[in-house]
Amino acid sequence: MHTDVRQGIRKLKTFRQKEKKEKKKLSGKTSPKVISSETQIRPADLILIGALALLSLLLLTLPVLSRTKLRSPALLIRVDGKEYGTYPLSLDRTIEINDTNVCEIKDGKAKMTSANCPDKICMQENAIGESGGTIVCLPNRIVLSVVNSEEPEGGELDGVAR
Amino acid sequence: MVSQDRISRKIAEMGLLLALAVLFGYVEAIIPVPMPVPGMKLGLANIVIVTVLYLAGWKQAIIISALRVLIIGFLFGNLFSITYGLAGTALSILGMTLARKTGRFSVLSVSALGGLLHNCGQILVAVLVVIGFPWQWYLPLLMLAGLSAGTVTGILNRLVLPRVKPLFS
Repeated sequence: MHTDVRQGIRKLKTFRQKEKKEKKKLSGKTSPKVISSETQIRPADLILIGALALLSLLLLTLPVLSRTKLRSPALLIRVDGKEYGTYPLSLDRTIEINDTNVCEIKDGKAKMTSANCPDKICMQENAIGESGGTIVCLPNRIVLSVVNSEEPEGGELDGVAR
Repeated sequence: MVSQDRISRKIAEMGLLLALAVLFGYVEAIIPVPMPVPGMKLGLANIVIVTVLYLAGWKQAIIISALRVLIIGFLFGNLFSITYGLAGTALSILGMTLARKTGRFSVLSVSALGGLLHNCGQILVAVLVVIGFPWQWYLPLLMLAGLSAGTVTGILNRLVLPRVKPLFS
């Protein structure tokens, strides 16, 4: 089996060499597509990878820093960008979303328990609770997020755009 | 006669590479490897795409990766996965081609950049398709995921490229 493959490769190589000679005769020039230096690691590589890693870490700190503990957290369900409903996290319940997904609120945390999409990635996501977070079902365009259900009291939130 | 032979062989080569790229995607779909982020993949097919990009050119790389996304999408996915895949692959190949053209980077960082841009393209589609998509959370996480996956496939490509080079016309 292996020897067969090797023989085949050898044949192929000799065929290639023959053809290369032919090609040289014909055109008189060869254009190597890969310069061997392109597989050698260069300082610029490490700089680029390091810079990209730093950039993504910086972007990651933005939502982490802006995260605040919510006083009366509620689960906001949006389908296709439109609000489907808001449910307080303090009450345990199961919510069916358009016959495609089912999510469950339990012990102050929300989780997707059922989805009709093939990959079921939303069901693998960690439960979201009072510290915020989101669960997204991309195929069914459902976004679960934890928001503060408290109505803003006049005066307190002056100047805060919502 | 000779030129016609070369064209036929090129077609056969591209067909083989496309099959290999599809196979890598299939293997990744049926054997789930535990990953830190749900849905994250190593992107083994990227090895094939980068190889084609380096040894055949960006046009062939675009054709092969677009066909790969369509075939994988029709076989195992849906219209959404095709849209996400095409956006990711387009951005990724564009970035990798430009990075390679500068001549300053080796396969390692070109592939890493490709992995990162692949995920950025998918986030872009998600933002356009799903209103209220929390990209602030997903973008940096998926950028890191793509960067690390792209670096791993880049390391593999450093080993693959010199070995398969003689087989290309």
